[in-house]
Amino acid sequence: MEAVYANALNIQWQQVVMWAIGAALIYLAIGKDMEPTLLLPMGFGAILVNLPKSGAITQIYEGVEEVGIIDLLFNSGIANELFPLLLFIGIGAMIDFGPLLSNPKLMLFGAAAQFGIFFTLGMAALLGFELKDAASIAIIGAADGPTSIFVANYFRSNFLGPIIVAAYSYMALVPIVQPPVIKLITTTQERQIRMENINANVSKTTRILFPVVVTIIAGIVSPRSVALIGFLMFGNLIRECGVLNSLSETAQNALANLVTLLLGITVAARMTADAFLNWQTIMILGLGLVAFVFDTVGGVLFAKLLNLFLKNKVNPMIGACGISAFPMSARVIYKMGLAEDNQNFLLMHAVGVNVSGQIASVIAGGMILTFFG
Amino acid sequence: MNVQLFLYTLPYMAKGMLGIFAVTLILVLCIVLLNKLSSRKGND
Repeated sequence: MEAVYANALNIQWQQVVMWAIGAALIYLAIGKDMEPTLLLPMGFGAILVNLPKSGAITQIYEGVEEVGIIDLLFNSGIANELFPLLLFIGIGAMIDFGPLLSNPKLMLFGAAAQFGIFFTLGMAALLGFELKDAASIAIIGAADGPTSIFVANYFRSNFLGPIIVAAYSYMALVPIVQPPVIKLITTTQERQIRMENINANVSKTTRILFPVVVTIIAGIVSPRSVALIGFLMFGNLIRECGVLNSLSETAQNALANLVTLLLGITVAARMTADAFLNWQTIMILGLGLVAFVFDTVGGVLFAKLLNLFLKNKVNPMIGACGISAFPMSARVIYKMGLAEDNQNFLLMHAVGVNVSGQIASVIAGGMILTFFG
Repeated sequence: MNVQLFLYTLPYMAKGMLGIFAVTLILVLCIVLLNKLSSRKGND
């Protein structure tokens, strides 16, 4: 009988805190519908790996090491960057670059909205993080889970768990984080600026050549990120080529769902109480918010700057969509536009900027890898 | 507080943003070119 409750005596208060964090993530996923595909597996995984002597992670029993399934999945899918890359094929297959291709100037907003990454790099360095950890934390501002995982893992950051939790949590919190920041730095008149409709009539040739061209250019500039951008664009090429519809559907649904499922629970390997419960985690969560806020500020202020020179003004709110976080950010700006003026339809512009942010965030990740890798 | 490391990162902030804008500009030019070529081909 003693064997039944003996392990209960091994429970530590830190593990109980992690159960509470796991439960909170599950609540946010189910109760608030915030990124449920990732927060739910992560929440459950956080509980799973923080049970005393959990067999889900590697343990030493009587001097013999027994490899846990979560650690096995981590080493096979995240440590070698396989899962984020496979997920990028699915994401690439989901993205329609039409609005961007018909108005390529929108890409500049995607570039501007990466400001939060580099601002956070400085802030993380100032707070005392080592350079590679600071770079890993800064990439939370990419607002793109796979890129965050790829970069943090590349640098072998000690804070992979908190970084991923922050990245996905703030992506889910975009509807809460962005509107007050945008309202703070824009006037009502600016938010009511109407924009001409985009004619998303792009030739098939352009749609097919675009992913190839992006891969070549980004690969030449930043060879270390070529796998990231390459897999994203490969997914998009499958979508646009028109002869691989079955593969495209598989990438968008089955592949993306399967990898997301495994990714979420595998991330929990870095959510053990000893690795997660420390002051650095709180600082990383704070820095993640800083990254998202300054991404938004960068995009919006760049739009305002452009308006000084443009005859046809742009609604500065669309600059905020360059944060990536596809398609959440575009939806937020679309709704904000309608709230200010019920005839102001910004959706196509917002989507165009949002997908450009997806590309720009990967390029930014590549820059970070090139600088500090 | 590590002010020295912060100062060390400042040039990278500038280089990073400049780098992203440079790559983006190249991509914008490529898209414009692709659109022009494919529309010309369509007209032909």
